[in-house]
Amino acid sequence: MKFTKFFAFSIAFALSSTNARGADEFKVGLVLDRGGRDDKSFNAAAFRGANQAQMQLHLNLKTVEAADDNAYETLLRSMAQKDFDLIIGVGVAQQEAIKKVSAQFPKKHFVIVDAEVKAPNVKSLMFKEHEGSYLVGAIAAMSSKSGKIGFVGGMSIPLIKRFELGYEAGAKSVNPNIAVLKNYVGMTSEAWNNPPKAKEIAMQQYQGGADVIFAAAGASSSGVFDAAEDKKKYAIGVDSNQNWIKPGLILTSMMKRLDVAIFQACQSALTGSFKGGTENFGLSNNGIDYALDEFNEKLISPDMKKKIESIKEAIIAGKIKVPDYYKQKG
Amino acid sequence: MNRGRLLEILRPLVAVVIGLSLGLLVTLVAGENPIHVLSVLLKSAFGSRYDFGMTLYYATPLIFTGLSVAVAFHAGLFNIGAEGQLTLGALAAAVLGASFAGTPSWIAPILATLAAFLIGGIWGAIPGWLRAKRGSHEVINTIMLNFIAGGIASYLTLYWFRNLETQNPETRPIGPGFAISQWAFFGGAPVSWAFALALLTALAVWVFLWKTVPGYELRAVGQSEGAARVARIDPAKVRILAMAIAGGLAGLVGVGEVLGGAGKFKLGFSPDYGFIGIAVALLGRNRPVGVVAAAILFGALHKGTADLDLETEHVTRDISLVLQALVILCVSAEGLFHLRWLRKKRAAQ
Amino acid sequence: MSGTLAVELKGLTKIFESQNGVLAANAGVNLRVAKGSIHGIIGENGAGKSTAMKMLYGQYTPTEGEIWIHGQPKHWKSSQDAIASGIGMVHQHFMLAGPYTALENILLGSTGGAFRLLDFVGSKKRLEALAAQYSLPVNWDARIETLPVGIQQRIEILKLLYRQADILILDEPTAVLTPQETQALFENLKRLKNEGKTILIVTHKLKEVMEITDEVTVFRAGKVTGSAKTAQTSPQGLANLMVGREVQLKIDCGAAPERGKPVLELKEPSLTVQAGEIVGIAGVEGNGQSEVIFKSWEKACAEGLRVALIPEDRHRDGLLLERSVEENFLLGHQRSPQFSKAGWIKSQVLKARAKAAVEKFDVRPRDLDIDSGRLSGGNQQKLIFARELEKNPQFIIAAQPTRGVDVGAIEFIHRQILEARNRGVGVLLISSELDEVMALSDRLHVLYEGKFVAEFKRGHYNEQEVGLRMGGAV
Repeated sequence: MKFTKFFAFSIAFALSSTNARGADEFKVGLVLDRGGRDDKSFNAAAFRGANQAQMQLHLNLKTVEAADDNAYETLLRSMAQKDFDLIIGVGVAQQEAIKKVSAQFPKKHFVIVDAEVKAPNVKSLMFKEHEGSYLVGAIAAMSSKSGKIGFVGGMSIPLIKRFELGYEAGAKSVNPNIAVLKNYVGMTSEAWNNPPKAKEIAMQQYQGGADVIFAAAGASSSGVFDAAEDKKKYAIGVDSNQNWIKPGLILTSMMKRLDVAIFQACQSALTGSFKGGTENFGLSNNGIDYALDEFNEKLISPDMKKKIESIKEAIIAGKIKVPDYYKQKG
Repeated sequence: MNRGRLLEILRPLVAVVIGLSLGLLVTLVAGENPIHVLSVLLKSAFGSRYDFGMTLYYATPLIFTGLSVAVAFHAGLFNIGAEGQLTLGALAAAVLGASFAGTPSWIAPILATLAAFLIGGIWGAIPGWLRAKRGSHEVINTIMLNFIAGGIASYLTLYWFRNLETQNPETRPIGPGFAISQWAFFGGAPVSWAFALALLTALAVWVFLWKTVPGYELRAVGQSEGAARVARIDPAKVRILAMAIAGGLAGLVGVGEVLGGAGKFKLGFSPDYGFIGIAVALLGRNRPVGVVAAAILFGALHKGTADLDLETEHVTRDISLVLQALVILCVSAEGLFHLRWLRKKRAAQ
Repeated sequence: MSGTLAVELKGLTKIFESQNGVLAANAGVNLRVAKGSIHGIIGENGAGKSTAMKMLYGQYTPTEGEIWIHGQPKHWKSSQDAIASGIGMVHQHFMLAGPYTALENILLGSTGGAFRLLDFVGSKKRLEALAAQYSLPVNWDARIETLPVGIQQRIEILKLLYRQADILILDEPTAVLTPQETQALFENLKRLKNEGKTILIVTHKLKEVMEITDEVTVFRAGKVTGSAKTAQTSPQGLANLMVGREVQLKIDCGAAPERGKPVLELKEPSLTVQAGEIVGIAGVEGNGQSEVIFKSWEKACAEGLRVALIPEDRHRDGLLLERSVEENFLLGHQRSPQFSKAGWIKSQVLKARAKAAVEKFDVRPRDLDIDSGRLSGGNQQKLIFARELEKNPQFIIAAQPTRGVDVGAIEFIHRQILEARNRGVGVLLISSELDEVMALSDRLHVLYEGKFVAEFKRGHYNEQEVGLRMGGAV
């Protein structure tokens, strides 16, 4: 057992990442959040990154989903006990489990998304959601005719509050009088996977006058898109590029490039340059962005696009200070 | 007579084996080697101290909810409300533990255990009272109360006792005096004295039901309300008592989860322990010993199937669920078959 | 009989395999029923009459043996096959749906696919013709639940005739009828016989067997113990055959003891029971018996008397069917200091007492661990008596004490009631068996629609008159 592990490691070290045979032995475990790989959003982005790593770096990927909140630790642990070289936990719910298991297996490499675990063998991938939210907030305000926009969050936790605060600030920067309707889908982890409830909330917001809704609710977001279709109003996607889901109705998507971040993490682990610590992804390094493609090109006029790009540059340059919920709370 | 006893034990086992075999057949269709799947299942559930510990950890709440359902069942009631009862019981233990964090360790776990039992019990007694006094059916009421309990738990967790150090919706951690120690033997698995408590509780339930007058009266009401009335037993009182006990037993899930495990109340911590408890009671024939055995089986299944995802190419968590569901289905089908067989036998006499 | 045989059972055997071993419900049953005759099937509960009839009706498949109908061997898979061969059965509990009309009930179960169209008009015409042919008039548009039991039974019989049954099996057909309704039924059966139908009556009432049947077959312990022309037998002889020993059919009441203080004084309806007497209540079922029982019981309990209750429905109110004999024996005593202390059941005492009582009241089998539901009706009733008399009661309410109880046990139960009276216990006896109330009671009330409409004293009982009053005649 020990020998094979050592063998795998040494090959990974010795050979470059382009060498298919050696990399095949490099095993990556991906533990997804509730909602699963088909949520078209958060988990989907993570899975896409890992999958891309599997294809391009020829490493061996295993993706699992937890049955309950207690199962994260078990799964992470099982992976650590086996010959996995890199273990990735997606989502804040795994923070504690990663903390615990990474301490028990100091020689294994771990990645945690959306939460910080301070350990030499853990890389924490943090995203500046507020920056992207500010951007799509501005887009929402530019597109809104009613002067009312909506926000549907998954759960009222700091992470989603961060989306909310940035979104509102972005919208107000365009139209200081704009009204923002805000609701949350639920209070248990089911909130990330409850499209009917999300649809109900979105319908109410549309009926209340909102004509653009930003959905930050994982797999539940699809309920918001359904509502947009029913009401023929706009929605904004989250995490992945979701413009394709309802072409012409999804104004844009606030992309959280988990795929890029996770791909990079895999690459660094494979080449032996893996380092613990926190990595931040924002507009400046393309870890956060807004989506523009053939599905929404008619919705974003060249004039709008110009304005958006200038806001984006201003944020990157630090000329616009986007309020950060994390910092507010101290 | 001996042969009868043996059959009584064998039949549910056969049902489990059939259910498992069907499930393995499904994995075969999915493109896996069933033998491999089975070996992964067994290894994952019992392969190491840690794995076995996790199995016992999952079995602990199932013993409590299984007993809860069984006690209600003996009184002729169907407790579908164990989920809500355990939610509030666990919350009670966590709130107490967080609010009086300085409580010394010689008394703290006992107090928290009592709180879990009491609050779960009250939550169980409500549908018992509604059934006994107002005649509204406990199945509907317990289901509804599950939702209400979920709402209360969310509200209290998020707005009153929230742990601000994490993003997760959970209460502040309990004081150190409240924590009950985990058994080091199981290599870090959160199996604690709560498991011993579960076994003791099973024993206590057995003594209560079969050795005491209130237990006898409870079972009499469950068997025949008319005969119970003639024996001057007040079915209303007994039903309330039965549901209170059932609720309390479910509430004890909080002991393992909060005091022995997480050290706090996490919203949505239960992967439907309350509902799996129904299957556990069914498989355990509503006998405490049976419930313990069935709970360990279901704990093993839960733990075993979690690793299937990891160890096989084509089996995902969904097929794991199918596997569990098939076992439950076969067990309940066997129960129905058993009933029919009894009826036929009676008709023959 | 010289005519051809309608039914012949040859060595019919039915073995049930159960948790506790093998049970031969029927062993080598031979039965010959002549065409166009009325044949009585008698036997104690559990003697195997029902099992034999269910095999004949296709509900059970015989383990061994043959069924011959009109000289043809038959093997049927279900009742449907039996019905197709012209066999019909009227169950003790009618298979009618209350909220539907008589006509709908007959069409409900008749042959044909589930999706066939119901031909109401045509069916009604045919039914009316059938009813006229056998002079069994029925209001076809009345809902079943509004019809008297006698008429419901008539509808059941017409249902069989409609399906062209020519062999009719009637299971305890008189259990729910008044004497007058019974007479009407018997006349109808005789008419059917004259029309060429063959009738099998399963019953335990020897009087009726003597009155209506041409031939009789006696079952005991899964076997046929005798078969004879009715004219050549006597009730005493049949009873002995059923039980397997000499049976005391006549009840010797002996002299009533000195009457004591009243143990029950009820105002509405007005009823008094004194210590040392048996007060009987006769009436067709459903005329308020349950209310009288309940009120009497509540009153006596409220007055702090030790009351023994033999409930009218022992399965519902008397026993925990899926519990052991021992646990059933405890029922009602569970809080008595003899049997429990500080909430703990004294299991040693309970076992000893239960064992002694089971011995004394001859509950068979002598197994304290067997579920009470597995005892025969008679033994269940004996168990209830054993339990209730353990209270050393001052007042006994005995409701339908011998219903579904075999002849041997009836004798035993009657003796218990009489002995209790002789000890100075007041007894309220409610029974729909007219013979029983008249034989045991010192006084007799007739209950009709919740009211006592007549009172008789011992020595002045007249079956005809009591029967009329039971039927509501003034």
